Amino acid sequence: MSFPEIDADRIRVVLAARLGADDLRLDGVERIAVGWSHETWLFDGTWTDAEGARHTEGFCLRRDPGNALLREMSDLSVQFAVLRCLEGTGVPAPRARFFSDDPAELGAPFIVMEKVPGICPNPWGREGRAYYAAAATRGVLPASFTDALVALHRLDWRAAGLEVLGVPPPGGFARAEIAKWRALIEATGQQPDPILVDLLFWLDEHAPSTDRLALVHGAYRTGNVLIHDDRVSAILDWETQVIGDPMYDVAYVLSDLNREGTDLLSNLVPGDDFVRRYEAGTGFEIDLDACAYYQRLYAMRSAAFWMSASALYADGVNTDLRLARTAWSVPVVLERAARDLGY
Amino acid sequence: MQGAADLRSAAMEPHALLARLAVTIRNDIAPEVGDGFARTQAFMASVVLDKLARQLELAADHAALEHAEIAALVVDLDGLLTGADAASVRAAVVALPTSDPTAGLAALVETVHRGRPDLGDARTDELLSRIRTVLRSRVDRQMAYAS
Repeated sequence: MSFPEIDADRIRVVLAARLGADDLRLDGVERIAVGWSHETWLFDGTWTDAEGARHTEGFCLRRDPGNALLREMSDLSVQFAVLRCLEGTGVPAPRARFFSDDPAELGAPFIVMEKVPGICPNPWGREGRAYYAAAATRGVLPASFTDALVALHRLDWRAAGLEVLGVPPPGGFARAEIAKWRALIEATGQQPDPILVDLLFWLDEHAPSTDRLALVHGAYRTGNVLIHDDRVSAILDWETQVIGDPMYDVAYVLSDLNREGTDLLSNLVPGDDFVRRYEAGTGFEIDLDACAYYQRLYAMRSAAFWMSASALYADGVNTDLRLARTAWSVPVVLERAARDLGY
Repeated sequence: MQGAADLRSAAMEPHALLARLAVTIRNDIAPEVGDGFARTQAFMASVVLDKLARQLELAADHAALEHAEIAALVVDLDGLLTGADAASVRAAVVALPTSDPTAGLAALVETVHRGRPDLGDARTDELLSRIRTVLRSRVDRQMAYAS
């Protein structure tokens, strides 16, 4: 698939047509390089509507380059549908404005969302860790981080129209998730490591059966939420969401893989505070056995993710050297998984 | 003219050359790259070369250890694989010494798991326990260059 470069002028022309605003002006156009997923642009638009009223609005445009990580499971049309469903629900998420898969517009599928105010410090960097440590002492952001997850898990997803994501069969969420990530492993065309094979069988043999379903983000941690005024202003990275067991998200929050040199969950939240606030907010009792299971499922997911990433480079689909580096992340994840399996 | 004993090899060992390249890119090239993305790519190139260098340096030793461990595993498992119910596992074990180690061990793990209904839980778990000892050694070796 060809992937033509675009610029601010091309974006302006397309957005002006969408908004019916010939005088649209874009300011502060910035292409941000975060993540290995979709190409992302931020800008402010100012225009006059048909009634002569002036508008100024911040926008975020994401375009699918066709060679990004998780491209098999991060269809922008699905992201657009999810964001539309979340509007007005209390789940902090950007408001989706437009989706197009017409190559005549920007050469590749794209969505345009509102630009939500906030920052997203990198939890793996020194500055980011210091930011979250300082926020932890104030206590406001940890509560907001927990409350945003509560809002997600309390959402009436059927009423919101999120059945479009697919509903797992009764008791079958874990196996459906295994199947999804196994498909990603198979798509790499690489020979899976025997530890990964062992892990896949273990996961299948020990899959928990639960009928408690919620909208699950699938990667809920600092670094995937936008923060403004010490509160979560938006949950980002809607690429791995699924209708599933809310313990799947809780396991991710509880995982020590998402914190570095601190006992604070996701580098931010004291464990006891999270458990107390989450259980009070959702009415769910945290199931530690289920969480332990899902943490092993995340290990399998990580291995699949890194295999997929390194394959993008190895196959010449993507030339980002950070992807080449991920080949060595696979044994690191599997070493941990082997320990978790008792060897 | 120097005697042969005084001469060193003209070429560096491949792993040492890769490691030297990594240092050059990290210290002399990457810092001079103006564009942020390209600079990150240059630093990442040095990381990749470092890991390749270490992996290459250890490759021969690791291969020898793996070969010996797989040979020992074949002998070890042989005693547990009597009876017709173990035929598929026995075939996977027999294939091990001539297979790519990753593919051979993965096939063995899969065959044992799939054979659980015939083998029974106790024998399956015993077989997996023996195989996992080899897998543990393998991944420990990989960690010497991956982590």
